[in-house]
Amino acid sequence: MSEAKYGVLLVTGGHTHQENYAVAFAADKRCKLIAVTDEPDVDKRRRELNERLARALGVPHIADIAEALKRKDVDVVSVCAEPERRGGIAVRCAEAGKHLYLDKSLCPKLSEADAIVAAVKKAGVKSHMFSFISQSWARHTKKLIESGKLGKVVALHADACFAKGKTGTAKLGKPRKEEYPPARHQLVEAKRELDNVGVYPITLARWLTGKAFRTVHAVTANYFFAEHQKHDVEDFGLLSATLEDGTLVTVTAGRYGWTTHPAGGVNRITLVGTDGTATLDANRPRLEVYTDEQPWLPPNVNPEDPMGFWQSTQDAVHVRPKKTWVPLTASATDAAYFLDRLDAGKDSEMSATDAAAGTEVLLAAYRSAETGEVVTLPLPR
Amino acid sequence: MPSLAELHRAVAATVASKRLGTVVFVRYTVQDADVKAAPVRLAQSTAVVRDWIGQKLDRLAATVHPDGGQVALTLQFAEGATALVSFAKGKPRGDGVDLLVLGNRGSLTHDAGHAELSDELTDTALPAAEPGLLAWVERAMKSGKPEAAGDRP
Repeated sequence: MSEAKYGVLLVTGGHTHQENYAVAFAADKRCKLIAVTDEPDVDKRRRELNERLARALGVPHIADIAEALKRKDVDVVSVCAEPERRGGIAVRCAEAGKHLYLDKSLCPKLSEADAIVAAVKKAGVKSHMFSFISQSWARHTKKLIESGKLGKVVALHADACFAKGKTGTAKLGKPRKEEYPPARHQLVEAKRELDNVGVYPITLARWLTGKAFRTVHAVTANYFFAEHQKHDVEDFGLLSATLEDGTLVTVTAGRYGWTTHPAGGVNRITLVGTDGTATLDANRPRLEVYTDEQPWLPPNVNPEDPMGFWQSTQDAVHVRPKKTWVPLTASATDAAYFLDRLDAGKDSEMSATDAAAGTEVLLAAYRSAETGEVVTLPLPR
Repeated sequence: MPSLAELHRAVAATVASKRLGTVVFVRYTVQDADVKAAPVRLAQSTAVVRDWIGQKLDRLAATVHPDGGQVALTLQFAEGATALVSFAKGKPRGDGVDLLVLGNRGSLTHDAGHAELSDELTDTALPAAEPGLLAWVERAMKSGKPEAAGDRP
């Protein structure tokens, strides 16, 4: 007799974070993967990638999401469609009465974010966007703030940068110009990294403080990678902001190359309180191990994914794990966090509403980067 | 105990060695218990960061906490490099400096965990703030708006 009580439908397959999310759901005894599905009019490449993941997972591929959503054995939908398609699909799934597990960032447009929030509310389903909040270091940070040991938090400085991609490839020499609204969020060679990575510290700051962003000043002027430069999408961004109570927030986010960090990249937050300061780091506490093993070398470039976005494409070029830093603790998966919340009948602390607030901050950041001015939130509807 | 000036010299030497390639971004956060020191410490830190980057500073914007004790400067340079220079009022940890330098070929970090494991205070004496840069920082802190270079350094 299966212990699974949640049937999980996967929207969009290979070459998305679904490769990771599906594995996390499949590893949880509370879940049974039902199928991989998508919109029926996706292009040939996307359809093949969807079918590929379905085969790898040993589940059916259902070409039309409308058919898949009719299934009574689907309780949760994991939505990993490309950002531009994500909003409409999420609304559709909520309207079908399914709980939503959403890839980050939520969606590129404010109107889409508002529609998701409204659909979730109307349907009474639970929702969650993948984020840092389920990680042990983030939860420790939250506990530290709540303990009052730092006094009132008055500033928060967060860095999240992924050590992936071939270094030294961008042509330097002049500032990049931002566009608004931002387009081309997810290409084969490049993603908008302020959005893709910046969503983590932005949503983390809001979750940790419980305060909304009030002003945002952002810059997306520099490049590290030729891939991003070719498509005129930023690979790095910085943000200086205030929350509604005046708390100062600074964020750096992006991607800076395979060989620039002993692990996956800098990922930390410094809290400045009226009574103390603390830096919480996803890579601390740790062991540091040095041996006569061959030093870590970056993988060959996979033309299907030169920046190392996806698990399958990294596996294809045999990316070796970095082993110099050994973490002391392992976090439960983000999927397990959402299932725990479902079990408890509670919404996620990173629900569609919280995720939509992150979208608004990101859009304000792009607006600021385009105009060079400080942008005040909330944005006009 | 190594001084802050020695830290700056070590970073400058590493940048000059080109091991990091070309500097693309710097985050420099300094902590000081004296809130009145904020403009001067920010101007000094900005000058150091500008020199590491080696580009003309085009634009400077300040975000300031209402109590004045927390300030972040966003710096934009002529050839595309950027920086975040922050002042945090509070008891310094280690030498009080938290540093991240990202080059297009590598990175450099320095934080409290890399500083002297001692309660002894670090010598933070630096050359006097450049008057033009100090005035620019103060103007940005007052206006809360991005301030362009004009004929400033």
